[in-house]
Amino acid sequence: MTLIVMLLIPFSFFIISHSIPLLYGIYLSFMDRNGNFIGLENYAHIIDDYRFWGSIKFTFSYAIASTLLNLAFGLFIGVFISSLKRGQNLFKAIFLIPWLIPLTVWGLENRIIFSRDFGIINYVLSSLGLIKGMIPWLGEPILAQLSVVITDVYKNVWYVALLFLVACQNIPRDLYEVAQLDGATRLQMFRYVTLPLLRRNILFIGLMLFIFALQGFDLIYSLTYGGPAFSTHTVALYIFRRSLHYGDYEYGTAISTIWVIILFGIVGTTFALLSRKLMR
Amino acid sequence: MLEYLKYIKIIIMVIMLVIVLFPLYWTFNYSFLPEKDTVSYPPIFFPSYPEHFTLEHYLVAVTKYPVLRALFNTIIIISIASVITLILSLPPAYVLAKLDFKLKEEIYYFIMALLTIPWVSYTIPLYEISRTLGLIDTHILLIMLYGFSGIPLFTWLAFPFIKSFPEDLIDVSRTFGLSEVKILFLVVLPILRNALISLFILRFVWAYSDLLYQLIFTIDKAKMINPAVLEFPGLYEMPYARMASGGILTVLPLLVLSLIFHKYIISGLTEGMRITA
Repeated sequence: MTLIVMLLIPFSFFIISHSIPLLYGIYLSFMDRNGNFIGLENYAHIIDDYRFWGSIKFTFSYAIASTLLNLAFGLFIGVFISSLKRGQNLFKAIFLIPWLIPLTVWGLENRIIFSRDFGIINYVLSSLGLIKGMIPWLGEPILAQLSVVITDVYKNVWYVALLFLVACQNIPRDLYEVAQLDGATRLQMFRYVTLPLLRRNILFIGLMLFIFALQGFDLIYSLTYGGPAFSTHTVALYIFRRSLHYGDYEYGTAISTIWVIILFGIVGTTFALLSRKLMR
Repeated sequence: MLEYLKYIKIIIMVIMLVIVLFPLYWTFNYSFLPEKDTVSYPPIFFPSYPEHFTLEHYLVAVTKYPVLRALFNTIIIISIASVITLILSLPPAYVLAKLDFKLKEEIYYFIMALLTIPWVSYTIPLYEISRTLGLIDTHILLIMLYGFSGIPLFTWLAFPFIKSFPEDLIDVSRTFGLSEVKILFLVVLPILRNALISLFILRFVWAYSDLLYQLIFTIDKAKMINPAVLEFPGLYEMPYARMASGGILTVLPLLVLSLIFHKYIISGLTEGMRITA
């Protein structure tokens, strides 16, 4: 009885509003525009859809690159701040500010900052004499992909650092004192005390970052809108444009079914299994 | 040698502060510059009255674009939806953390796996369904979507808070004959008030910042803030200063919220991490 009231009923709100529509979407993926059953035809189109495969490739590259960079820089910054004697709370407060800015707004801000002719990045780089001429950050495929990763890391790394900072603060001080008595250098302390103790945090934060990055939509929508030349299309943006923008709903549901299978099947299972192992 | 290290640290700290705050400052700066100054080279680093200062963009933003209404819509919708999310995700979290039953672990990991289903895959069928029901661009639809979509994530985030709640207090309440629902709402939650506030704020900030649902399900009447601000850059023009003013207006409510509830946000963001990881 308690289970029904406290687990089943609350969760049925999610099931009815999200899971059942998801199943309905899978059903739609076997239909054509007029509601006739066409079997796997929509899926057959996906095989030749090089834009879809391009978006898969970009989504995974972007997710892997941003996750690794966020982890590396976040860990470094977090450990650095935790080594400070003063100002830790100040940084905790300041690091929240980028987290508070919606990705949509972040994208617009970075359109200003990365602008080719008037952006501050090109201004700083050229006045330092590092570049000649102006770099079209958002105008060339490779550079635009790079800019997307940079803006993502620029926004998220502080929050990751905050998590690592708190994790570091929870490491007992005596461990470092013992290591110091044994004559360990700072680098050794990091390598043999901090890192092993943060292993679970690193894995956990990394997984979360990866899952959220694979869903990437907001930032790219407002920063590049998938351009130039489809180079920064994530799968989410591609599905959105194919279906809700151009009205090709049934094909859109077929792509998103494949995407669900990839994410829920592969990533979801890994996520659940790994965290199960961690909980032990 | 140690002296040097101290100065290097201070320098790194200052550089870091500048880098963190720069985008917000730069947006703030641009939002007050006349549009011609935003395309000047070298850039202008701060607005100065009277030549390099104007309130015009804010005026345009609130008069020519539906920004104020969108802000109002967003705050109302997200506040109600966040309360709904919490009401619906705390009981499952309590059940999973404090009761024993068959398949408990399987359900917990199933909920976790649900988190990896991409949001975009819900949107097409949801769009079709809400169009048939005539719900597109209504407040009630957005309240439902944002209210219900967070249930798995917030069940999972609330779990460690409830898990760490002392077992004895629950046992004592049981001996008084309280039902589990009453124990949760009358005993556990009042004590976990701080956790509740921080979960509410997390939900609020995340839903407020989300673009996908706001873009797809609101058009005019229920228009929300993120798609409203995206209308600022036109097809053939790039009004940097106006975009910046829109950005500042969007962030402002969140900044105010974070100033008031600053300490809850940090604990909400990190507490779960401490216990799960």
